[in-house]
Amino acid sequence: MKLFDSELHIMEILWKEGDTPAKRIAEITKEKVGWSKTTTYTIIKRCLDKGAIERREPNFVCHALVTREQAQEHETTELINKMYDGAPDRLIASLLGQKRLSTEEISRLKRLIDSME
Amino acid sequence: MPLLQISISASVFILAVIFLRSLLIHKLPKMTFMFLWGVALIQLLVPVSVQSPFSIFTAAEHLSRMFTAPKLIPTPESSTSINGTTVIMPPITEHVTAPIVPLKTASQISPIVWVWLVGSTLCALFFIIPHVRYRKIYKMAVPIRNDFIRKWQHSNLLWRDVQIRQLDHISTPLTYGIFRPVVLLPKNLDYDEEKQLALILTHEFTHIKRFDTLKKWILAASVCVHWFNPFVWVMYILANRDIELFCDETVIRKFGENTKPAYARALVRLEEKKSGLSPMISSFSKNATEERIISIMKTKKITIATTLLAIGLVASVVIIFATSALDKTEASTGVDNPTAEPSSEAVPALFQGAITTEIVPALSQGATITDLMPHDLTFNKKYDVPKLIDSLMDSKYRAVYMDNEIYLRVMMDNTIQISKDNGAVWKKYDTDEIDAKEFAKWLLINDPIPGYSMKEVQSRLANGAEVKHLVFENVKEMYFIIDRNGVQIELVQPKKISSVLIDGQRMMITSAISAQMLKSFYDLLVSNNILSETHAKQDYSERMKYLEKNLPNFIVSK
Repeated sequence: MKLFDSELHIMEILWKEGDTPAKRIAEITKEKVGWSKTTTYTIIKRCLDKGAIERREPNFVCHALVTREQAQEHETTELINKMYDGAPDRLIASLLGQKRLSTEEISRLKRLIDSME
Repeated sequence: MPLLQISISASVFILAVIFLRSLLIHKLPKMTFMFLWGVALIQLLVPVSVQSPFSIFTAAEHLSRMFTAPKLIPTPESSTSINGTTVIMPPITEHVTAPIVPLKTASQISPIVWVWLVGSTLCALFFIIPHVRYRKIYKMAVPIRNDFIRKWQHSNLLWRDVQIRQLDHISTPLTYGIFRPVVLLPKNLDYDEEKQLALILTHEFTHIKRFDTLKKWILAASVCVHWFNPFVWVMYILANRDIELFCDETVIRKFGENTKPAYARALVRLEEKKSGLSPMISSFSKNATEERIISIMKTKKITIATTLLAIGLVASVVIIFATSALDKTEASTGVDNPTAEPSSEAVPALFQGAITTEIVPALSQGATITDLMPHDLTFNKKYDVPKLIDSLMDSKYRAVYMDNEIYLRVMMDNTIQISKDNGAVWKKYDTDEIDAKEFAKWLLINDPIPGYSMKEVQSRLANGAEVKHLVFENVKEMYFIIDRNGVQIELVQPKKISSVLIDGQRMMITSAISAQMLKSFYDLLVSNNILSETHAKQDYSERMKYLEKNLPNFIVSK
C-alpha cells in the first residue's frame, strides 16, 4: 500500500499507541507536526479511503488495518506540483501543455550548460 | 466601454514590452522587465491615465488629422478663389457616416457586461479552486529535521515567520502563503548536498522577500479582469517567467558568478526528477526551461552602462506606450465623469413621449465625432451670401433651419420654435444647457465645419456665449451657440440627411439636396418675412446656378 508521509505519521501513532480516538490523534499531531485539526481529519479520511485504518464507534476511534511492514514507503508517482506550484502560474502552464521534459531534452540542456560554462 | 479602452491601450504597451523582451531579455537586468510589467499591471487595473505629448496615441491622432484636416478646413484664400464660395467636396464614399451613437439602455446591465462578468468569474474560479485544493495538501507537510536547514534559517531571518517543511507530494521546491509563507521542499531532494540546498533556500527566500506570491496573484487578477484580451494572457505567462528569472539573477549575484553552472545544473536536476515519470514533451516547457538556463548562464554584473540603457529604455517605452494622448483623453474621460457630462440625461424635450432610451449627446462621446458631421456645402457670410445674412439679422429671427422632417427657427429672444407641418403651426421647444467650456473643447477637437472662424467661435464661447442643445428622436442633434452677436447652429447628424440652414454666420447645405427642398427653404424665408419674393427668387436661382455649374452631384431629383 502506498502511503504518503503525512499518512504514515498517523499510522505511526496507531502502531505505537494502539487504537486512538481521532480527537486524540489531532492533539498529538498538532503538537508534533503542527497540523490543524482540519488537516489531521483530512489525512485520517484519506487513510480510511485507502483502507489503511478503520473507524470504530463510539468516539471515532481509529484502528490500524495494515502493519508497519505492509505499509512500506513507496516512492509516489502522484506528484502534484508537476502541474501546479503553489502560485497560480503553473496551473496555466499545465493548461498550455507544460509537462515534463524528455530525457533527450534534459541531456540537451546539460550540454547547453557545459557549452556556456 | 472604458474597460475595453483600457484593455486596448494597455495591449499596445504590452506588445512593446514583449518586443523589447524578445530582443533584450538576456542583456538587461531582469529588474527592467519586472518594472515594465508593473507599469502594465497598473495600466490594466488602475483606471487612471497619464497624458503625455510624446504618447504614441498623440502621434496617432496627429497622423489621422493630417489625413483628414486638409480636406475639411480650407483656408480663407482658397475659399475666395473658388468663385467666392466655400466648398467642401463630399467624399466619394457615400456611406461613411455610419451612426456610431450607441443607445444606452437606462438601468439594465447590458448582455456584454453579463458576458464579461461570467467570464471573469469563471476565470477567477479557475485560479482559486485548484489553489484551495492544493492548499489542503500543502497543509499536510511535515517538519524537516535537518541541521543545515535549521542553521541556514537562523542566519537568514525575515520579519515574517517562515516555515520550511517537507512534502512528498511535490517534486520541486515551492513557496506558498503571502503573510505566513511556507517553503515546501520535496522529499526526493538530496538533503546532504548543502550547496544545492542553500541555493534552493535562497531562491525561495528571495521570492518571499519580494512578495512574489502576491505579484502572481495580482497578475492572475489582471487576467480575470481582461480575460478577453489575449495579450494579457501572454503578459501573464511572460511576467511569471520573469519573476523566476529575476529571482535567479538575485541568487547568482549573491553567491557569485561562478555558481552559475551549479545553479543551472541544480535546475536541470529538478527537471530530471520530474522527467523520469512521464514521456510527455512540450515545446512551451522546453522553451521556458531553456530560457531560464540561458538567462542564468548569461547573468552578468550590472554595469553603469547597462543600468543607464535600462533606465533610458524603460523611460521611453513608458512615456511612449503607457501614456495617453493629450486632448482626446480629456474629452473622452468626460464620459466617465458625471460632472463633465451635463446633458447625460438629455432625454430630448422634443419627443419626450416617444423616446424611452437615453440618448448620449455627441459632445460627451469625445472621439470619432468627426465622422458624424455631415459633409456639407457652406456659403460664407462675408464672401458668398452677405445680403441673405443681413436680411436674416434684420428680421425677427436669428436662424432658420429645414430638413425633410422639421422646420426650425430661432427667435429674437433665443427661444426655439419647431414646425412639423411645413410651417403651418409653430411650437416652442425647451433645450438643455451645455457647459460652454466643455463645448469649446469638443468643438476644437471635432468640428470640421468651416464657413466661420474657429477663433471667433472660441472667443465667443470663452466670453460667455450660451450653448443650448436639442436631441431629436433619430439621434440627430443641434447645438446653438448664442450671444449678443447672434446664433450659430452646429449640426450633428448620425446619418447624412439633407438640410438647409442659415444662422448669423453662414448658409449651409448638408448632403445632397433637391431643387424642390431648396425652393421650399426660400419659400419659408419669404413666408417669415426674411426675404422679399423677388429677392428670394434671385437668391434661389443664384444658388441653383452655382450648384449646377460646380457641384452637379449635390443636386438630387426627388
